[in-house]
Amino acid sequence: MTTTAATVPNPIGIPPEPDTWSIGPPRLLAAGYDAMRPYDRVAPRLLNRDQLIRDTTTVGLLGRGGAAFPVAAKLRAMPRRRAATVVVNGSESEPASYKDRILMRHSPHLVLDGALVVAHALRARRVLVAVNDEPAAAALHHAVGHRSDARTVRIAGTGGRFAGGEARAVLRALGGGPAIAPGRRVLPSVRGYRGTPTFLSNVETFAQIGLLATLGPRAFADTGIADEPGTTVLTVTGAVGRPGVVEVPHGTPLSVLLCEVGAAPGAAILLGGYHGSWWTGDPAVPLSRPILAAAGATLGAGVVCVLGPETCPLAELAHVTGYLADESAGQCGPCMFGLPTLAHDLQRAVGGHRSAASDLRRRLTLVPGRGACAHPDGTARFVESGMRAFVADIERHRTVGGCGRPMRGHLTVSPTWQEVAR
Amino acid sequence: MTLWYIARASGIVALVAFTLATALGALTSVRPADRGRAANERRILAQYAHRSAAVTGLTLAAVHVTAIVLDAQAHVAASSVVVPFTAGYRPVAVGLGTIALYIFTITALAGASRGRLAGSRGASGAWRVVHAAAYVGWALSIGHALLAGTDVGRLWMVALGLGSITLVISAFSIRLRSESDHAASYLVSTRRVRTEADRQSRSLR
Amino acid sequence: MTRSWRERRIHVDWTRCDGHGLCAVLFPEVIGSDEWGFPVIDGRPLSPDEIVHARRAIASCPALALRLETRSVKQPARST
Repeated sequence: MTTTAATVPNPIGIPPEPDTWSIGPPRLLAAGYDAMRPYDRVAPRLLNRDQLIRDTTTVGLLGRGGAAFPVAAKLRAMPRRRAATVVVNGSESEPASYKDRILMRHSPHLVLDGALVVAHALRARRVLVAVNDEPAAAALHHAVGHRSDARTVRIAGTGGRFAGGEARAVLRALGGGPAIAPGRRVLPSVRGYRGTPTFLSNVETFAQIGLLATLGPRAFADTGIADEPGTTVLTVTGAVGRPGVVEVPHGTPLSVLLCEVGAAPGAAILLGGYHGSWWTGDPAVPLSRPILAAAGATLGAGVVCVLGPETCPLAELAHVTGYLADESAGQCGPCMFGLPTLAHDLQRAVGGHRSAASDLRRRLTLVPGRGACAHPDGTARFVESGMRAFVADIERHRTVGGCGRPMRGHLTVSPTWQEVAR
Repeated sequence: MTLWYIARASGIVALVAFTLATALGALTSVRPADRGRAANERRILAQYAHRSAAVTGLTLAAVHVTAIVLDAQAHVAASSVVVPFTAGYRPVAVGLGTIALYIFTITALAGASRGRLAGSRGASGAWRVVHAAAYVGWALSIGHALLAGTDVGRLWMVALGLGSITLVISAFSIRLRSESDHAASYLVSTRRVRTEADRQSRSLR
Repeated sequence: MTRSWRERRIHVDWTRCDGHGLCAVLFPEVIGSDEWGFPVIDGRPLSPDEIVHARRAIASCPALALRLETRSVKQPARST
């Protein structure tokens, strides 16, 4: 398997950002694609609703924002006769994720292709892009200005807090409300942006749709595995020699990825970001959403964090849980009171308190499902899988009082790249 | 003559019942400082008492109105029950009573459908406004009693009137104070602050 | 032939719930309390005789945070 570094032209002058590269030939991160001037580009093949559903079903395209919902099912859920809205969720509020910003900054045309293909298929009157990163917004504006088919596209900010990246929070913010989830769970396809049926998905999902429309399902499935053709874009951070945004074909073994990024052997791996889980299964597990889902894990928004042996994993866990507690939207009692208590209990576990682990186990059962959004559920999953992955460390802290390692911050809570790369 | 006495008696007791209902309605909104189970049980009992007093008040008000209309010497026709300020006897005073009863009826209907309305977002917001009209209804019923009541001059009636006014005003101020305490509570104030901060951070883009 | 029936459950609007706790007093079989006073709802469908208790609990909530949600369930018959 070859790795190629993508040399991406930087016409706009943006601040330091992650390296972007790929395992195998790049597709979404291919330099040439977007660097071509608009009239040199191949315009995306526009599909009607049934064709798009058929093609996305053939390649089993899953959403890239975290929920991994089948795109075809989401399309089918859209009502036929009502005016729809298409929303590209580029809010990327997870600190350890950078792929969406990279895609918007360097492949804005591909993202717009996908959005316009979906808009055409659903006969949507408007396309909205939610983005909070200035260079990404600028790149999108630039790209929109150079196309004749993007008149219905509007680009807007939604506020960059963690809880604000969730689908319904984004829709509310775009409509003029606060960027937090509403009290009642209604699917965006039923009532989304300003009450209209809305197809909302992640930036990368639209980029994949744009690619699919241009390549067709057969060429799209040239890479990847039978159960999940194509590639996925990951953000790899933490104790690695080569952090960055990397595009990998589905089915790439996790061990191969870790070798390529220079992770220490035996490092603890977090898959799916801060609402994901710690991976304790086969180190060579193929990176594919259905395969990981069958094992009870998730790729989330393509976030892979590596914890080096020189940091205290419990302290890292406690630190991130404290961040997640602060990032609660502050609407729902069980989350507002429960999450800080979980963080406090983790700090107690770091300090070696005897009852910390049992308190955590008890409280973890009460956190999921009691809130307006999935923030408490994701946090509980992150903590609970951590308790299982680091059971030996918990025991060591309890019996000996510590592990002799400081908290080095391999799990980032900062939104800027400089602080993430080490 | 019997009808006249029935009318007066039922009117006075209805007023007492409505006063209790209004005061209890204010007090059930008060969040007790002590959060134990006993405090919650008392609050539930207060909710029941509030509803019972309201139903009693409406029943007696119906008796009051019926007795007056049936009493030919009272010069209040059935139509005046429906259209305010058209009675043959003290039209303004009676009109206040008519409006007060309308308000209480609507308020009670809203109260009875409270559980069902909880399902809809918009309806529950409107519910509070409609139900709060009870305070206005109560004030009008006091006004009606003062202007139309036969026993107004009597000492016990004055005591009753002052007592009613004091009771509702104290209950309402306790409720207002509890409301501001509640708004300052951690969860509620954080909701407000974070929602506002979110709105502001968006408008800066 | 498919069997279909309606399942009713209590749902909490968490953005309204202030943890008053009256619901847990009125319907302890299904509504418990956590250490901060917020309801812990047993997620099972309610039996017909429990509905009246559920409605009482819903009406008693000072924040109007509870509601009854109905869901139709269909179960296809096993093929012979």
